[in-house]
Amino acid sequence: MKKSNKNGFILAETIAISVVIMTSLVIIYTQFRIVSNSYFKTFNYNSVNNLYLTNNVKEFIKTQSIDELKKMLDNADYVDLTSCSYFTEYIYCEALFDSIGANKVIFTKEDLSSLKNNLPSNFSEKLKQFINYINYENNNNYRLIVEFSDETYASLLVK
Amino acid sequence: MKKGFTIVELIVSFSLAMIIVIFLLKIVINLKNLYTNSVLKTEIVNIQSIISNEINKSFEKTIVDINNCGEGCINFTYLDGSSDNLVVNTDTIEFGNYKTTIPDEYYIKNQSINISYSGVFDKYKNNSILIISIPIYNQRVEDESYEIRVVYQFNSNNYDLKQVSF
Repeated sequence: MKKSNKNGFILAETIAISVVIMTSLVIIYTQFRIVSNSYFKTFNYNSVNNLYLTNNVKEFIKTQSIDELKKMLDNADYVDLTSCSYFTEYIYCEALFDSIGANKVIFTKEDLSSLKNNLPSNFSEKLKQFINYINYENNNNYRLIVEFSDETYASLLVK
Repeated sequence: MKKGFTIVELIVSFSLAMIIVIFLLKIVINLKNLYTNSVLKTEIVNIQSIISNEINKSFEKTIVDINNCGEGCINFTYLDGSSDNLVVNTDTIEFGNYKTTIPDEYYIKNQSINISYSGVFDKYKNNSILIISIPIYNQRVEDESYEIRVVYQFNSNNYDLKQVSF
């Protein structure tokens, strides 16, 4: 009579243990990613330095044709101010954007819901992430969003 | 019946344990680096925030004159008659009553102050930009740097600020 070998693992036991261990590892890794993302946002979004630099843009556009920019937002989710083509003082505008280290300057409504649903493909992934990060209120104000050359971001309310 | 583990059991157990250990070790090392970096980075970002805030708040008083006040020292005089000194050395930054020393791992180099003028059509609008740049570098990591950058817009027809340097 053949002896049955009861030593060793059966396949079901091995699979069960592997699933438990893998699930634990995935949970630990997910928590680590949350910590890592918080770290990234703290140091790259809305730093005091960048908020003051963005305020310079806000001061500048308030002296320019801001009412026309607001009218343009009736038919568009955002206005890209980076090229300075909307301003009479475009030479000064270019010098200002260069001095603050701005890569992209966007003027939008405070209500970002439409923009968040239709993020343009020419926006960088990090800029899209920043726009999705911004909390907004449903009111009639506006918002300035600046992407800096060192891949940091800031946004300010414009009333 | 002999008690004990078979070779297959041992190999499988050992392999699983090694996968877990390697994965956990990687996470622990990353977390440790994250913690060390974030402590230093937090300190630098705090300094950056405070200095930036102090300078920008003071500049709201409208600068009427800028002068050198020694090695690494710039004096700003405001419309209300008050003034502040900005002193930048390799490891310290001082503005007004606030003075700070940056962490040992970092140093300041190539600080600059520049005034650029752009022609504008409206002589009553700002036409000049004052830029103060204070870069802070990491001694061990060349690519890692932080910059305190202050931008001040003014109309040179009102106050013609002259070019100075640190």
